[in-house]
Amino acid sequence: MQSDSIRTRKRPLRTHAGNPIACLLCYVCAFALPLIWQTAATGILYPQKLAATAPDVNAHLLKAVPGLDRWLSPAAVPAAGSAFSLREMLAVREQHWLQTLTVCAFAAWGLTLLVQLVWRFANSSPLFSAKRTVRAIRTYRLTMLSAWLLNAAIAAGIWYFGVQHITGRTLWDYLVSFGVYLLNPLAAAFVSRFAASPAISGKHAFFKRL
Amino acid sequence: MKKAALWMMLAALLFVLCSCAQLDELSQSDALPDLRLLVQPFYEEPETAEKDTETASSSMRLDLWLDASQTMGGVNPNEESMYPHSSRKYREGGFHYRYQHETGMYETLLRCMLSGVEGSRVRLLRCGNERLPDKYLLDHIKRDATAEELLSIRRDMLTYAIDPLPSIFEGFSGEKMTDSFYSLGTPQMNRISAVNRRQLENPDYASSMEKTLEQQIHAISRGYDESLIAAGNDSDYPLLYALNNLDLSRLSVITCDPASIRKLTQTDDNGDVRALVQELLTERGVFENGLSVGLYAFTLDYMGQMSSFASADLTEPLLWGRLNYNNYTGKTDGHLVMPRTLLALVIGRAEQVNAFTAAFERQLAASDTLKVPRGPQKGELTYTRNGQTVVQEPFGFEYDYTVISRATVESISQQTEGVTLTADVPVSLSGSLYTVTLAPVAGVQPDRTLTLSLPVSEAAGSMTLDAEQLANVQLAAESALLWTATLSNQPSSVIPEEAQTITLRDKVYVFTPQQPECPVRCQALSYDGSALTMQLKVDGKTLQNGYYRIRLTADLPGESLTWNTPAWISERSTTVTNEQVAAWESFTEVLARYERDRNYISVPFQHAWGDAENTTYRGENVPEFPPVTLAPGLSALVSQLQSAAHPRTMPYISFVFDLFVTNQ
Repeated sequence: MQSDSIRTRKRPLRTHAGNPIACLLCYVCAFALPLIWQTAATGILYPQKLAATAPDVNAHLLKAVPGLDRWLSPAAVPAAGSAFSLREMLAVREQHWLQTLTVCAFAAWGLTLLVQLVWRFANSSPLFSAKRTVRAIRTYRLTMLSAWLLNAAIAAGIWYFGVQHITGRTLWDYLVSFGVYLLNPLAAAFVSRFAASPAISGKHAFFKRL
Repeated sequence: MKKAALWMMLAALLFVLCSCAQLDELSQSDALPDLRLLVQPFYEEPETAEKDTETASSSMRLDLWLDASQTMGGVNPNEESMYPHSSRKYREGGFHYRYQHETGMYETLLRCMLSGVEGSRVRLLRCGNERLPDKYLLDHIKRDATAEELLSIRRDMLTYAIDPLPSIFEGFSGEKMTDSFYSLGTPQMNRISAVNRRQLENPDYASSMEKTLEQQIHAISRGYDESLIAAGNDSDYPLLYALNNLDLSRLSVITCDPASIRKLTQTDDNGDVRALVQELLTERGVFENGLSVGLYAFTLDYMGQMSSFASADLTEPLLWGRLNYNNYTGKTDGHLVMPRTLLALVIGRAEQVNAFTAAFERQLAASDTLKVPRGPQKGELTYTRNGQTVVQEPFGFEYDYTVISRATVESISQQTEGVTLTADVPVSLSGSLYTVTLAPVAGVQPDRTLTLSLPVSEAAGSMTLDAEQLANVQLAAESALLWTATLSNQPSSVIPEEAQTITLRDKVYVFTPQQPECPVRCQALSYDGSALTMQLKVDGKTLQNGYYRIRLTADLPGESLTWNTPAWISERSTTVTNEQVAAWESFTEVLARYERDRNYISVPFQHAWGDAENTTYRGENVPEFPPVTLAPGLSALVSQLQSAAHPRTMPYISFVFDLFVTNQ
């Protein structure tokens, strides 16, 4: 009996103390960047670079999904020759567009964070850390793929129902509309690689330990 | 690995920095601002001016200028005449004759005038052949008086009564007309002491005026100063004297014996013909001040001795109307009055003229005196006319009336019903403002043609309009809101206060008010009798993006309006030629030479040069008796009134529309 325990226990179980504060800061910095970007895009860049370019996103949504008329209404087309009414319509349309961009960006951000946290907590057990690490790398790649696909899907929706209808598109249109969908997966990748669970991270490992 | 990662980061950084250089190019957009966001400049619909309406005549100030010429009163000023001033057969009195209890219709007319304006401030003025020259007034009344002050002083001196009762007219005439209202230099000229001095225009000079009038009466009776009477001066007669001294702030009624109108035109040293009445009315600004002239022509009864007729000064007067004297019984049984035409001008603001004429005509209609016919009956009195013997029948009171005022034509604007502006581009109408939207074709604004159709209204009053004479069509860009600058969409950009802006992406397009050259001109004009059609060409090359407000104006020359003169003017009018004047003056000289020594008046000359056809006198044919029933120069007088009322040009069209020049 004593020989069995000597044979199976090659070395003592070591658990590395993680740095939770550093990980938290990493998460905050990484996932704050898309939010800061989106805020700057809609609050500063859009009024200065993309004023009066909003597409009628509600109308395009209703055209594709008529059942949404309970919640959405297109900006009313004013009577011909009424400049005041036209300006009001454009203001409403802009409001709808910015709301759509914000909601979609926030949804993509939240889902990306959720997916990343699910992966993190699924790979936080210290048991069988080597095997778990190998599996974590695999699941990390799958998780990143899903995060990219998720953001791409939402970006595609933004394109289909909004951006493609903007005339005279410039680089600023793409940056403001899609920048957040680039930053979300990158933030998830960053925190996955640099703020992973202590069970799978290491100094020179795939998942770095802060 | 680390080195590789470091090099990758540097490469990425370099890429980003290089991209910034391309950023401007990639951020440029060829999108154009939507000019529909421009607020069309505010257009205020012009308010239609409401016409002032005068209420009842009781609120008027009225000047009644009474013709006091000798022909008016049938007074023969020649003491050596073969005709007695008053006898069992012959009388003076003229329009204002008086025989026993009967007076001429003229007195009833005057009473009706006063009754119609009861409650108004009425001033009676006597206007005869006596004169108060400016120099006379300056010497006797006020040395430094201005022209207006002299007019005022003269009006005071001509004042006969203020706020009189109708019974005042009884004192104007009598069966003997010596020193009557119509006598030359009559003492009745001086009425300063009879009126309330405080009601004069110049009460401070009342004493001077009274004294001066006494001196004038004395001078005229002695023949001292010829400047104090209008003696044979063809351009000086009571009508002109009254017109020259009118107070235009009051309603003026001027009675006028047309026989006292000597000449209406005068040829000056340069050979230019001056229209005297037209010139005077223009000089006083009667029609320019918006006043109207109403013209009455009355058929009244007359009995008197006319020593002048138009410009003819007769040595022996014309006998027109007399008493019904029976040579056999030696008794006088009534009068044999004859018809003559009397004129009256009513000058004042249109509403005052209308109020006066309405009240006056009500009084005329209600007067029983005027309903009774007068005149000889059953061949009691005859005379020759056009070589034919005319038997005078009883005649009744009649009158005709017309009004002459400055020509008014209802002008055409975008508010006029029936106005249309069409083109082969979108044209919208908001209120009464047309907006033509001009979009580019293949990036360029082409020339375009707009069609403007304007219905022509008829002229107001008694006039006909010939709109084909429309002249001086002008188009002007009243204002414009044009794209003048493109600024950066930054808070630091300074935008002019009155500008409108359209923000698109990173640019602010600034539109500011401008005064550009008009891009529209009138290419063609046609008139089909009911509407004017204009083809307006828009020059595409000069157009800038934004709004233009275009005003089209056009004038009508005065010649485009022709008066519709009533037929009665020509029916009551006659002309007097110099040949006729010479014939009449010569004949009456011969009459005086051969007939004055008789102690009786030959039968042919007892009235209107007799009733026999083709008579001769002393071997010469007796000239046609002057047409005393008609008004000499009436047509010419009306023509001069119409000419004075005629404007040189009249603004006729004022049409505003907007051009909206878009960029897409």
